[in-house]
Amino acid sequence: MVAESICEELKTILKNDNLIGKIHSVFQNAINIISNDNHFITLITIDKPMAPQAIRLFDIKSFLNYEIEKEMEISFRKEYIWLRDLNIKITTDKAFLWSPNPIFSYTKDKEEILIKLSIMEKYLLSGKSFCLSFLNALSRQHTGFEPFSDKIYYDDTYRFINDRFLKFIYAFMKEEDSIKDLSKKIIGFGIGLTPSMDDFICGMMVSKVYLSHYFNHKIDSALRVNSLIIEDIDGRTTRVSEEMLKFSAKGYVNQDIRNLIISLISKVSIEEFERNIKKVADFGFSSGDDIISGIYTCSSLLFNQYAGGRTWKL
Amino acid sequence: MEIVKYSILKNTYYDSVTLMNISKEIKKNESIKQALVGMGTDLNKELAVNLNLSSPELQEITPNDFFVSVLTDENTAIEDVINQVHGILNRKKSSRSDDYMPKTLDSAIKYEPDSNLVLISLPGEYAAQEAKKALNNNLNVMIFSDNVTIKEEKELKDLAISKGLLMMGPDCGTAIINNVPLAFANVVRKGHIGLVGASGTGLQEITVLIDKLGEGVSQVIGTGGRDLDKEIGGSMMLLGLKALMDDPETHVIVLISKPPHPEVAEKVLKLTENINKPLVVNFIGGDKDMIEKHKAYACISLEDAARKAAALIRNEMVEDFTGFSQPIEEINKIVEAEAGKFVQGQKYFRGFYTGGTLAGEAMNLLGKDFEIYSNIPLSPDFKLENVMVSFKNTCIDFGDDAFTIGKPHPMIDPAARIERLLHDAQDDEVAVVLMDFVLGYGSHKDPAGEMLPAIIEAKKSMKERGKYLSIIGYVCGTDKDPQGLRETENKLKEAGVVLMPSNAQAAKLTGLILNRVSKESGFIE
Repeated sequence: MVAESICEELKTILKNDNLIGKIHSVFQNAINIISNDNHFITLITIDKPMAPQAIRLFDIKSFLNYEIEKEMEISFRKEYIWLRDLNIKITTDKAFLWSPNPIFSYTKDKEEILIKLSIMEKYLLSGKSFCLSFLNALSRQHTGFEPFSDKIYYDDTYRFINDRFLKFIYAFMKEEDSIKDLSKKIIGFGIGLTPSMDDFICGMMVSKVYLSHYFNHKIDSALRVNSLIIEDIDGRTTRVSEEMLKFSAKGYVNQDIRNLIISLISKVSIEEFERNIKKVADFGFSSGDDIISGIYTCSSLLFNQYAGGRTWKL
Repeated sequence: MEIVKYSILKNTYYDSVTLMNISKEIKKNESIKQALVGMGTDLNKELAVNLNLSSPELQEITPNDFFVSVLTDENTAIEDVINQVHGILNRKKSSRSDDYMPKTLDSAIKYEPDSNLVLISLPGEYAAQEAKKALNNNLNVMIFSDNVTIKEEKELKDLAISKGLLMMGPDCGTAIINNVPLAFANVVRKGHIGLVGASGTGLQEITVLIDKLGEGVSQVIGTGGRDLDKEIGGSMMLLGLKALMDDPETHVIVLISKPPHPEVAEKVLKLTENINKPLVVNFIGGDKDMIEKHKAYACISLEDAARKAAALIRNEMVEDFTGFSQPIEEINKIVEAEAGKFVQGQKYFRGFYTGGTLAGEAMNLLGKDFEIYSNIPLSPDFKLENVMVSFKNTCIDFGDDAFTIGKPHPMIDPAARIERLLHDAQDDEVAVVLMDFVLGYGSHKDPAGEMLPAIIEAKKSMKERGKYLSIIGYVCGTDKDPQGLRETENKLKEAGVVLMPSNAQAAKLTGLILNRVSKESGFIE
């Protein structure tokens, strides 16, 4: 088997160490591996977007077609990966290098960004994101979220999370240190291998990084807030989600999410932007919608904060 | 007494689609009052406490453990719930998850890799792009949407032909492929009559009548309403025709369309010159001689097409059907009974149709005797100035753009037709209302029931003014359709609607009643 792409950072790690790992989980399009020094590495099929710490493979349509099981041992070498029990060798030496770093070399879009935000809003209104209840909560405190106000979720789950969520948003926007404790009270909430709230926060954090650049603010300050959010994350959520949040705090996200956020703020056609929404929306049951909710929320709030409130309303 | 029961699966991971399905399925269990499914994160454990769904053991689990906790009565065995979960997981393993609705074509293809046909029902501006993607994935396509440009249609059809694929539509309302009804279609018998049509309700009417005649269909291929325009050149009708010519299960072929461009008609009919199967052609209101010159059977109505196809399958004599199913004496009785109730001045009819082709057929059959104004007139001279206001004899296709922009099709939502019926019942010159009720997949779950209060109210309103409103109806459906043919017909009959066994017969009866009124009053409109 042959690797098509490999994350640049992972390549560097593999260059220096001979790692041994164990299979953590197996899905149709992904295998997660935890190495003996606790790196979380993902093998993905060619259908999935490249992601931090991932290796994308040619040839494989579904990992479920192989007899790969949890706890199986896997060896990483400079030029290949070896799944000993099944005698599967995956060469990585010719794979394309993919950088997870945020990309800031784009032409800023000042004309259509508000149209794009309203397209996102329309998409979310028609979708079934778990996070609609959060947007509903925001509608009572922030201008720009009114369209979500009739999405009523007064069930026990909503009551459980509502206040904590609003406090988290407030601290996030004010960049307060209290975010460190407030995040503990919401991370890991919701269904899914990456719980819905984590997906939402992932969208928030990556938007904060990109939007800070867009508004010519210090990215360091966004990175500081994000790092506070994930500071005590270990053991609070699933391992997969933990990794996702740690990376997104640095602005590292998979290719599809990166394309979406860049197409929101750069001179990219509406059609391409809509295609990018669709691609992210396709993640999991509601993961994609929850990430889009996070991107929408952070972007809208930052526009309120830095671009004159909902005077930008179309 | 209600108690908390739970199950924990250590170091077990499921994707969100699976977890969501588990959650939904468990909640369907009536003995379960409350349920929480998820990974053992601190927040989810706290939520479990908050919802009174926790236990000491549950508080010990880690974020990498999967749990199900339910509030249920003490007689429910948690094992049953767990078995339910395992059942869902096993279903998932075999790549099935009935609740999962892929959001994009790509994910749908991944989810159902063996599929070979895509039905696209999106706003027109997006439909072409998705259709192209599907064709490039070697999938046959049916586009239900309208508002696709003719240029896009041509490009898509050229691409489909280069790949030997079907590209049905845009604006293709009906197809039955391998006995599976698509979009607006009825449940009809499987058989040996194959149809290609550029008319949705036209295909529905013929397939329904074929079924009622005891025969069945092999394939029903829709082409979209513009396929026989000069710009498209009939490419899908040609491809469909070739497919049916090669199909061993098809013994008789029926083509149906509004009158095609003459060059296109010639091209289609030329292809049939070497055909080894009987061919029935109904180019509604089109050139009969041209069809017969090519040794095909030309038709007078949709019913005539169905009857000719059935006769050909049975090796019976093929004759034009111009009359009624019932003996003429009975028809005359109905005419006398209905016409006898009108008062002086009642002389016009209103055709209120949900099916465009059925409206067109009614106008074709009645147009010889009456001037009929319409939103889809036979001649531009009879175009309604304002489609929202009837004038003299009027026939309306409520599926036309004027009534459907931003609204569902009238077969799904009859609101516009209800409003119009009630309005026109205030017109003292109206005598007869002619209506269709289309059953089958895609249509309203009870099209007759939905119209019934308006029908009763319209008749009552006329009666209160000392007049009579005759309503002639036709139910296009089979006894196998989900709405139930018999139940639908009974409701309408009870409300005083005169039902006929085909659209053509309903139109002809309307003509006879109106002619009877004209004769009586010496008034010919």
